Amino acid sequence: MVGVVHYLVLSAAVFAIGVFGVMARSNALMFLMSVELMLNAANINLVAFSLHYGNLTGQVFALLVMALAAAEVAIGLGIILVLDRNFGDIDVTVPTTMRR
Amino acid sequence: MSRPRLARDLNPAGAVAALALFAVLAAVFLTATFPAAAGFEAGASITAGIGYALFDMADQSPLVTEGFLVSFILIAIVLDAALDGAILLARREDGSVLDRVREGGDD
Amino acid sequence: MTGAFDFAPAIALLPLAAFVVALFGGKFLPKRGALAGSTALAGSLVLSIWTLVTVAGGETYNADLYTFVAGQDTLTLHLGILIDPLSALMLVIVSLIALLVFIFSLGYMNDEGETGLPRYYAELGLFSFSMLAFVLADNLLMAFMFFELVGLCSYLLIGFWFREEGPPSAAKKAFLVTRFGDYFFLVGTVGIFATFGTGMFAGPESFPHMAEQALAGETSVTTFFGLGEQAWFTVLGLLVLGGVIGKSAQFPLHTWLPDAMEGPTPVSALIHAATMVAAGVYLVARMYGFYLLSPTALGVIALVGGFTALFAASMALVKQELKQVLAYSTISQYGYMMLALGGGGYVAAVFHLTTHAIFKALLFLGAGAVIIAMHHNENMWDMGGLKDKMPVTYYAFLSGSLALAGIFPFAGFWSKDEVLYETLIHGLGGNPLLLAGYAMGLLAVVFTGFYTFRMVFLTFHGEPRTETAEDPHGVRWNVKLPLAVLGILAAVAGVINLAPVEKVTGVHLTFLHDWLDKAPDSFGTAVHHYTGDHGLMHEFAGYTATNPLGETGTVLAGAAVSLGLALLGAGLAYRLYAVPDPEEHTDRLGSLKTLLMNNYYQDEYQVWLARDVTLPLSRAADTFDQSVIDGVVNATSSVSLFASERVRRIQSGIVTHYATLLTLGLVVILVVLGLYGGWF
Repeated sequence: MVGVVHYLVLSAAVFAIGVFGVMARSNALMFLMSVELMLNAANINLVAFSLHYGNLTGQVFALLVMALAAAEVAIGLGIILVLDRNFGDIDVTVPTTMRR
Repeated sequence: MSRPRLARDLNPAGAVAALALFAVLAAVFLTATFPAAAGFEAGASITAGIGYALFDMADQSPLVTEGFLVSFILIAIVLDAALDGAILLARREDGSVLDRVREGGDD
Repeated sequence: MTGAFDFAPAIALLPLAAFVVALFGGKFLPKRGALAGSTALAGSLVLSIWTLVTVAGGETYNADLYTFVAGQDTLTLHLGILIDPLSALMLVIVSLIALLVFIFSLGYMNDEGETGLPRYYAELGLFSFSMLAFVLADNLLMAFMFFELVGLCSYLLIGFWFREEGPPSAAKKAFLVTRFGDYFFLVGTVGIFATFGTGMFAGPESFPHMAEQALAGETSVTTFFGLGEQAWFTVLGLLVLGGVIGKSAQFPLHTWLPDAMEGPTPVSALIHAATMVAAGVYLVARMYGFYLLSPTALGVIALVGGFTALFAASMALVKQELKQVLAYSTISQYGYMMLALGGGGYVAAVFHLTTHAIFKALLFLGAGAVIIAMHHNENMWDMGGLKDKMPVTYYAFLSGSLALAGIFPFAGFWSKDEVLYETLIHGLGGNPLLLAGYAMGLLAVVFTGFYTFRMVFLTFHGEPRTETAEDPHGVRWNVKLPLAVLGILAAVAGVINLAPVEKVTGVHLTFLHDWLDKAPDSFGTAVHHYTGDHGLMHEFAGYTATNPLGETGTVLAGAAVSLGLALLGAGLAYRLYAVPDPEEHTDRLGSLKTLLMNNYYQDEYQVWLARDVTLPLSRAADTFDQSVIDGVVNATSSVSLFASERVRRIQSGIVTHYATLLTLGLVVILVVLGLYGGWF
């Protein structure tokens, strides 16, 4: 029987993949996609618990998270445009002006 | 455009960190105990429940769906703000937004 | 009516006032401060004599003047005054000689047209203040303070003519050598304060009294390094003895005194003959109740004294300069006093101290008169035949020389004879060390007779050997008056303690013995407490007197032997040098003379110790300090700098690195929380 634990382990795996993408990808667009993965992993977690406890709050929260992820991507793309304008490249390892 | 290649020059620290995080989370989830599952009533439709709540007929549905209304309003506001923000970031000093056409294009 | 004791502080403070007057107003005064000093010391002398008379009436005084550290349940440090027969006698001696030196300086310094005189008289006044305050001191710390101040004044006065080469170097040598001894004195003072909680010399709470009680088992005191009480008291006594050996120019710290003759002759007379070098011997006499408890310390004192007496007398045999002979003679005579103290002859030591102060000051002032006459040429081989041209000086000098050589009936004969007698009888009572000291002292009598009369005959007798000797510069009353006073005293001062005459005839003539016995029992400084039948010497030091020929017989035999040896030395000098044209007979000693002229190479030895032993050790210590101790401090800072340099590289500015660090941190926090919260 598929219990809540299966959904939780799935969400942990998806989250770990997203974290790995944030750490390893140098393209800024791929970086944003990995952030999306992490957010969606959280969504899986929320909905799993909503089903388990029979409480719709989890689904409401997941809907909100999805919308916020979209908003965040919109702003993120705008930042990538500015990044390209200033550094000529959207590689995230290039801008290092905020160090010591 | 060349096909994607497997990256071989990555720093292993990232992989180690991600695997460690997965291991910790999985360990926590697998050893946790949960109370008995209580699902929703069989045959209850969430979408119908949202519709009933939208028309102020919430007692027609066995589900508590007013929360969705709040999230709809908030989503509307947030997406509107995000759109304005994206346009602001994309705007250049001379006021134009779209990319100029480049000679030759890059590959 | 206010007694003499109320004015006791003034005895020391009057010369201090003269110091201030000479220092600030000396250049306006006609004699540049000499008259201020002379009047101040005349006042001190009057007060000292009045104090002496009061003590003769049986009163004594021991009081605090000023407490500068008042301890709660711990020791108290104060300045105070102790007036008992010994200190009253010493006050009179010091102020008399200081007064005569001030008068003499009018002739030696003012009349010779010396410059810088306000400084000279100010320093003399400061010296008089510190010496008198030292004599008056009632506790060991105050004595130490003024001991050091006296050393400072000696440094200033030896280096008076500092623009020449010799005097500043001699002044530094004097200061450093005595300072070396004073280091041990300071350690001893601290030790005494730590052991007994007090440094008082006299009274029921004094440290000699407490030490005596501790050895008798009545009280207990804290000892250190796990030593028993007897051993620890010996250690303390020997430590204080270090300062005494330095200040009184005993072997091995005697090397500064001959070089101190670079100073003006009145300074040599006052400081390096009669008073400052007496400070060491006076200190031992002051603390005699403590030294008597330790036969080892007494043995060391006697041996050092006897050896120094012989050692210095041998070096005086070959010297060519007048003041050098007198300097070695001073070292030798102080050796006699130390021999007496070590041998249990307390009265003999004080007697010799008194007579020596008189005749040595006389001899130095006489030498000063000769030096004025010879236009500051000190070499005896350039003199000769001065007795006809300087009769007052000659007869005074002769009187002093007879006293020094110990010829009957001059003062030195009685005191030296008593020193030797006391050492002999206590040595025969079972102390071979004292017998060794006696033998050395006896041999030194021969040498003393010889070098003294060699000096007299070369200087005053024979034909003049240079033109200056044929026509010497005249001296005035301010030179002749002190010489006359001291000359008379050197002849008659022996009457204060004619012990042999008393023993032979039975008439009571030992006035000094009675005088020193006058201290009240509560002070614990009377002679019967020290050397009487139930005194400390008998109980603790274990000295008993043995008269092999019966008391009268031993006295007469001893006197005859020492007089005979002195006459032998004098007679030999007469044969060799009382001729119209004497030759340098000491050349016949050959390489021995070279050894003696070079002072047994003691000066070179001490320089070697400083340069080749101490300096490398101090360099090693410095290297250790710089590399190890400073190295640890520097390493701490360089470790911190290095670590921070490395840690700073985490901030690379690259976002993905930061994300990695975040994730790793999150994992660690989750693991820690999980382990604590029991998630697993």
